[in-house]
Amino acid sequence: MPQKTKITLVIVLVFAAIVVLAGANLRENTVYYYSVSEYLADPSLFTKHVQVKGNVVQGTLKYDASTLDLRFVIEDKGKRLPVYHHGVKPDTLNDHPQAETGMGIEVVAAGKMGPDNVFQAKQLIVKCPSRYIDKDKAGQNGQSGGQDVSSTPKLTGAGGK
Amino acid sequence: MAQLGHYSIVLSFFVAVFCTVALFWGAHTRNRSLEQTGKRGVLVLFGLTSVGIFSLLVAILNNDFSIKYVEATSRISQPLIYKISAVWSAQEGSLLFWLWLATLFTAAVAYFWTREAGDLLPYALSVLSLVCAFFAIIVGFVANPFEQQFPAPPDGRGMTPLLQDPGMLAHPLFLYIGFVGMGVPFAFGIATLLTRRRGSDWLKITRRWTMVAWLFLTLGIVVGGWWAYQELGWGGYWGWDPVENSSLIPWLTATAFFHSAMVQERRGMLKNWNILLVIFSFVLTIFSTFLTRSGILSSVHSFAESPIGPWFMGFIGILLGGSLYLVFDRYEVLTDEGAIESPVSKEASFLLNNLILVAVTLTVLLGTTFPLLTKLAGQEVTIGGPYYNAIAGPLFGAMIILMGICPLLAWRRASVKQFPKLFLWPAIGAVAVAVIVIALGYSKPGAVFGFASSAFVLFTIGREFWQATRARSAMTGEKAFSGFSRLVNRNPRRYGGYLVHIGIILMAIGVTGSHFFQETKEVTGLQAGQSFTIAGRVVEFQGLRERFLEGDVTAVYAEMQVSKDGRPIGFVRPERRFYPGFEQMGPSTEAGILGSLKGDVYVLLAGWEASGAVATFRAFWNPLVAWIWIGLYFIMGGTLFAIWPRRRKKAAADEEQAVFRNLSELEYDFRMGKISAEDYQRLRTEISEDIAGAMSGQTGKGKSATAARKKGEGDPVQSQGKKRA
Repeated sequence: MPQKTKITLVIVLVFAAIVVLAGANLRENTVYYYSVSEYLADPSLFTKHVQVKGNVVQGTLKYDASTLDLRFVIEDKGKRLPVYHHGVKPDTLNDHPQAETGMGIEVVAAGKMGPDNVFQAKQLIVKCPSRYIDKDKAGQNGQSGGQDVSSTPKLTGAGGK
Repeated sequence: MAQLGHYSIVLSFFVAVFCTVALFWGAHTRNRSLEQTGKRGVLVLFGLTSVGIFSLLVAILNNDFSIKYVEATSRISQPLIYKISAVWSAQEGSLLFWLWLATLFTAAVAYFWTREAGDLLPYALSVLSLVCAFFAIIVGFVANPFEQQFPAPPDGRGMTPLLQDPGMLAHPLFLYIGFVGMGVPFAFGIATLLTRRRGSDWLKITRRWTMVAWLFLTLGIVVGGWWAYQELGWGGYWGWDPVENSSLIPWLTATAFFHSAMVQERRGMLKNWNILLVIFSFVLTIFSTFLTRSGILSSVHSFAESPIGPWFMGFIGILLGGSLYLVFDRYEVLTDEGAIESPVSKEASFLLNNLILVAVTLTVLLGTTFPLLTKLAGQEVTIGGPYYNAIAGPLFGAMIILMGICPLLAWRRASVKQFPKLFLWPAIGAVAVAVIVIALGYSKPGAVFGFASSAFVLFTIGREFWQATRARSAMTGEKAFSGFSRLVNRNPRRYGGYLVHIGIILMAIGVTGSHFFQETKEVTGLQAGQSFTIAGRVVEFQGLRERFLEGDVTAVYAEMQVSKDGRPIGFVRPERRFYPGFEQMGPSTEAGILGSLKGDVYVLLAGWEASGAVATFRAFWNPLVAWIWIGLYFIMGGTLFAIWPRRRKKAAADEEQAVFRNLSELEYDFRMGKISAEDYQRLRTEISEDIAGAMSGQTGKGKSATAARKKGEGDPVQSQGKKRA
């Protein structure tokens, strides 16, 4: 066999191996991605591990920093889904309307529906907002979750929320 | 300022278009004066974009909040350093920064490469100007950073707290220098096709550019990881996030490119492959900028969606279509001068290295764009981190093994018979390390493999340094030390490369350690005076404290003393910062890290009770992470050593030099036991024929007679050749 054929053969084999490897892993690690309304419309999805995207509903975020229990509700096209997550609240997660859209911040929750119809999120991805609404307006909506927005020193307010 | 900045960018678009046309047409019709005008235009272009970017900087420093961009990224009390970084911290500004760098590099190429580049230069400048023109459209007409609003708000909203960090100051800066830098080899590659020039001049001309661009890409990626580690608060530095991936993808192809470029420079092979790699590397940097800046993918880093998407897709289409058409149309320029003679040779192992890198690239690219592809097909599907780990992990492992084997193989023909001699001791060393690792109780197969193969590479590189020094001493009679210093300075690219390899291996050790042996712990309701233990280290919570930072930022941190075996070894101070203007977002995280060569104690402050006496933490033990940052220093050192300008002796023509280099390398290979005696004799005879051919100016025989063949057009520096022979 000429040298060139041999080398071509090796190249083809290496690539074939990688394609098989990639294909197998792709199937195992795919996660379907739905909006809240799509997800709720199809109960057969409740047994699967999925990603659900929605906007946080104003005033629904509750976080207990001492137990790391985080709860909030996400919505899309009028459908609402309560979400529970155990862990540290991501810095960017909040339940205030965003300047650009006027809606709550967009969150992707990855996990599975729990028995109590609360979505058990293993992971949260919060879309990093580039704009916030004006401070004055924030004051009107910003009382949820017992969050202390203005008091200094910060130590005396319940922190980390 | 807004008007000045905006109109200078708009004007720069027209100048860029003019340069593109003038340079191309001037070179094509051999109209010298048109070409010269185009070349001067490049300088004007740089001047205009400089006015643009400095207008933005001045506007930010002057708190001119009538400019929307300034309002969105800065505020009066923002520290100076973050006012400066505000220039490139958000979409519009970062694209302006991209444009400015591109014009800077174009001007640098125009005025520093005149002599070496010859008739490739105007074409390369034309290609670069075209790229500038595209970014000028974006910045001037689509994503205008100078857009105004009236009345101007009294203060800005300020930069997102996450970005107010030294890491985020440097990360985009480095990454963009790397991205734009890849444009230079791309432009010269295209110029080679346009002029139908054979040979590998474009690689020699752009060699330093490529290495510098690669170094900055590496720096950008690692600094990005370092930032994520400090700021994002999940205890890791890499999460296969789409935006992270998109910076890794061009790095992979760039790495493949400069390895295979060596094969072309040395043996005149893989020409079509190299040109394809450089095209894809550059197009992928544009694609990466697009993914990061268009908000098309859901990612922790992504920004709001914007209208730049279709423009980028169009430009990528033009670049890719145009380049591939040229490659196809001028395929005859890309015929190889040699062929791979043996599957066991340096060139064959480079080819394998390239295959693996391209495979990783495709894997990551597929995973990253999968949501987009499936969205087009109807149902959006995302890919999780395990996919990347499962595929990239083993492939990177294979790369590491190759890094151990490849440097020890001779060009053209290495013999398998020599393998025991070459690899016996490094292999024994690797097995010893594996045994030690298992004996210490770290028996996960992936980790044992990672550590053992890393050790194998370190041993082979060590052996290489040692043997080469010995061979040199034996041949020249120099003392070991001065011999070593001359040896490495004689061949800076090779020995700098080994240093870079050592750096990569140190990183691999860090990644292996932290990937396989991370420990994590949640500590809720810890009272001041209480402590918890992680990885044998006792962390005592001494209470919450407050401190005040520049820019009206209040920080609350936990004072925690870490001790091991009863002896205090230091403090960690996990922190939450309250940035003015971002109250509704809640305080931002700053991890408390106590680093050591063994590992980092990494603590996050999750929250606290109003009294300040009870707090909740999340703690990690991240073994060996420090080695990732140490490895970066080796990579920087090695690259700088390789590209550091050295005074070269006014040497013979390149081709002639190559023949003598081949001879000297053959001598080293033989004395270091890389090739067998028969091969040595055979190759020596061939090279001698080459030299004889070169001397007499006749056409030589043998496969490496290229040098002799080209001699006809070379300059008459034969006497020098004789002296050295």
